[in-house]
Amino acid sequence: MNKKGLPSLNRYGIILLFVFLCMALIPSFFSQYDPDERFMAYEDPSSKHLLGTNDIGNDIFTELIYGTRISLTVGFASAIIATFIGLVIGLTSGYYRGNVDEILMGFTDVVLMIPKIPLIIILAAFLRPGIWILILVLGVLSWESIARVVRSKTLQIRETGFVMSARCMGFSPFHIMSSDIIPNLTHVVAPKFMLATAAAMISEASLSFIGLGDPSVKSWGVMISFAFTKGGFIREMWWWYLPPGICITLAVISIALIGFSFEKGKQTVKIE
Amino acid sequence: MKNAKKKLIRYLICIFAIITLNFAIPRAMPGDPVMNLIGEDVMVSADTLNQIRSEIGLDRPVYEQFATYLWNLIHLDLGYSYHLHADVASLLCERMFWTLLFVGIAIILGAITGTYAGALSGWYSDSKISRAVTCVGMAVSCTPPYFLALIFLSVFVFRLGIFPFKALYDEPTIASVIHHLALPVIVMTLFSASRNFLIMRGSVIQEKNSHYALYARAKGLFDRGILWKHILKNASLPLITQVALDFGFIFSGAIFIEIVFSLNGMGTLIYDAILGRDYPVLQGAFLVIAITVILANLLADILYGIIDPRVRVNER
Amino acid sequence: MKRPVIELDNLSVTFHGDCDLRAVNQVSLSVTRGEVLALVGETGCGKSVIAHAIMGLLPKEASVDGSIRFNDMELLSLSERELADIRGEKIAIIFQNPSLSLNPVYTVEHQISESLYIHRKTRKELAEKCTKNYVLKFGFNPPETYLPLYPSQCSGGMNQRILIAASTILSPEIVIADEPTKGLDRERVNETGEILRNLVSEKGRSLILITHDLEFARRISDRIAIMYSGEIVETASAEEFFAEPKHPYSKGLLNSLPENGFVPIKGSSPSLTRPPDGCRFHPRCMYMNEQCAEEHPDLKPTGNRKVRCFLCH
Repeated sequence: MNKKGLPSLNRYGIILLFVFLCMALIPSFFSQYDPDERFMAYEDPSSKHLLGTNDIGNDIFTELIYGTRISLTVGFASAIIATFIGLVIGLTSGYYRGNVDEILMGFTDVVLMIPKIPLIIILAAFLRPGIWILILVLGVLSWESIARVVRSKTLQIRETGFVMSARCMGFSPFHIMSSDIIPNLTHVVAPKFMLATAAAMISEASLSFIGLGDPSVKSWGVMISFAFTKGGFIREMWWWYLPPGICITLAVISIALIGFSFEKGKQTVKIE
Repeated sequence: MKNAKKKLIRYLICIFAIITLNFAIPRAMPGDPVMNLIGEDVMVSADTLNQIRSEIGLDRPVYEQFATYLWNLIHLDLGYSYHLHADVASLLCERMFWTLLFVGIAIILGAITGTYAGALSGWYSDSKISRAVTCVGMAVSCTPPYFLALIFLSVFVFRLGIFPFKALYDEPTIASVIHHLALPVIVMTLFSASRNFLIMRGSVIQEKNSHYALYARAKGLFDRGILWKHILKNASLPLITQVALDFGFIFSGAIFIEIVFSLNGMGTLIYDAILGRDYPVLQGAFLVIAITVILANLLADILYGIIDPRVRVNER
Repeated sequence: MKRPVIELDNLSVTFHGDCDLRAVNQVSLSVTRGEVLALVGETGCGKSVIAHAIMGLLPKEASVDGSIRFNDMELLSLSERELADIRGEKIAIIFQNPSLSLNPVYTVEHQISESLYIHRKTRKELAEKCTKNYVLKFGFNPPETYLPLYPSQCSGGMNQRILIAASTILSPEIVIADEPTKGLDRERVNETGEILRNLVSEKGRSLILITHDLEFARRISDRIAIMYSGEIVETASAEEFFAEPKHPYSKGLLNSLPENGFVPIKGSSPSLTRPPDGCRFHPRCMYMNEQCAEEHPDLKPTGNRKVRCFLCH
């Protein structure tokens, strides 16, 4: 494996994510203002307002910092929901096999093929959901690929020596799953988890952009949507819509990098 | 054939599930079901409203309603938009044509450039250029597509004024259409190419260490000859699978790009329908988009079977 | 004496990684026209590495010293492009793992004809005709049934024959067969032996046979070279060798054959990163003395053979 390749990717990813996590957890460290404080509207960037102010006078830089926790929460929370569902379905399917497997995998395949974003759009158009319903919906629609990898890995692990002996000794399936199988699933689930987080963040941003997000909760996506609808775009206030977009991109990149680094290297030709 | 049959059944179930979902969602949502079915904020008289109520027949049993719904579907009747005063079906046809045109071109261009660049990048994976392009590709694939479109819009349309803003053409000539579609197609192509690039690159890096690649070299193939003649076919298999899975995502991205560039395709239709709560249009759009995506998946599956003989051959 | 087709002179191959591993240490060998040389040794002793070195297929982390001369050409100084011209046409290799070496998405026919396309730029119809004729020798009769198949549809034995056909269709001067009988049953082994023997006798080609199967080596080779821990420890004609092996390791190998009682050699092969001082075999040798533990013996001729052992001269 190329020594320069993987570890350094991981490093950048972790550093970036760490920065974002700080922004999410201790926002007051980065910005002295409150996101709802009002100043003069439509101000250009200056030393007092690093990214200027929006249409109702909020400091954009502060909005950006406080938006971090929302965007990251949406990402990770949806991914957690998706992973949980995926784990349950994948484990059950892989462990019990047979008809249960057929039915569950058939179900998964069907769900896999339904295009998510159009479905979310139509649901959101009817429901006009708050942020938590949005997270739930995003999570509930993203479990398929996790379920598939969990299932194939479970099928593999199920046939290994130590699991066979556990089954012979009469341990309950639940116990086997939690103590033997789940710990071995980490390195296949982790990259998918990261992918789900990234996808959820992009989906939320896109939905917010077309007005289906939760406008009361100012995520980065909502910021861009406001910039578009409240005159920031026409006035070429690039400091309003560019930074949140760049933040989304960087956050997704950092998550993707960390996700990649979980994947193992593959076979090479050996000469004996 | 057993595998193929199973797959076909799953596709059919999926299409049926979507049709059913489409039926169920408006009726299951909170609020007045009639409003859910014809759209809110609609200007109709009380009489017309009553007429509609009895037409839709919400008092009838569910399976009867479902039967009517299916009947209408077969006759390609997707309802009526009270906002736009037109048949949903004809609206969708018109808009879908442009969207498919622009998505189709972008996907093909994106597939060609992404695959070619990705294969080369994977083959020469240690070179500086390869790494640099990979970083760029990564950044592009992680950007929300509408944001990419926004950047292009602000730079090329507003700042530099090279490309026009809004609409599909000034006059109905091919040149004008190309001028208007150029930028959205470029953005869409970049987006789809970046994903293909990364997958192809990874795939080639994996395959180039395989035994058969070494044997090809042992037979006398030189450098890129091995890449194009042996690795490409094998490496493109995961690509096809991924593109098929991705198609929904890419199509959705296209919708957002259309909205940003204000093109008269499905994107703006959906956007306006959301604003105006024109539910019949939204439902029709969902149905059409979902089925298009599934058909694309089916196509990809067939393509995969053509390229990988093991799939066809081991079903004997 | 016939002029050698290929000559290895003090060939050494080192793999660089966390630590340096000398897989091949000062190996000198030669093969003459029409001769079958068997290179015999345990797994990991470096035989395949030599094969890859001759073909120029070693990975990046390997460095090579010494010389490999093929018909007066120094192979180690050739560029990749020049090597590509030679591979498949003048020197060919049959890899160990036929099912993996064949590309699963191309037909058998394509893969056998491929060398024709690469080196002779033959047109499709002509190439197909050549291939059809050629596979008859390998038992693929009628050819039309087998050629359109894919490797996944063929058995391991069939893939082995396909691989041999693919490597030898251009009649290369030297064929290197790397463990051609690995995993095959008795019948297939005999078949393979026949095929390889015929290849050599028909057109006067040379064969370097890499194997750990002594029986097989006895049946088809003219000369034998025994390798241990990256070095050649004995070379002799096949007849003389099997009649009377000289090196203690060779003796041990023959004793471990089923007909001689399956007597194993005690101990295990040494690590190639830190080989034992003196003679590399001495820790496992029952005849060893002080000199063996301190000095490293050279490969010295005795009679018609060469042996690397103090006690054999």
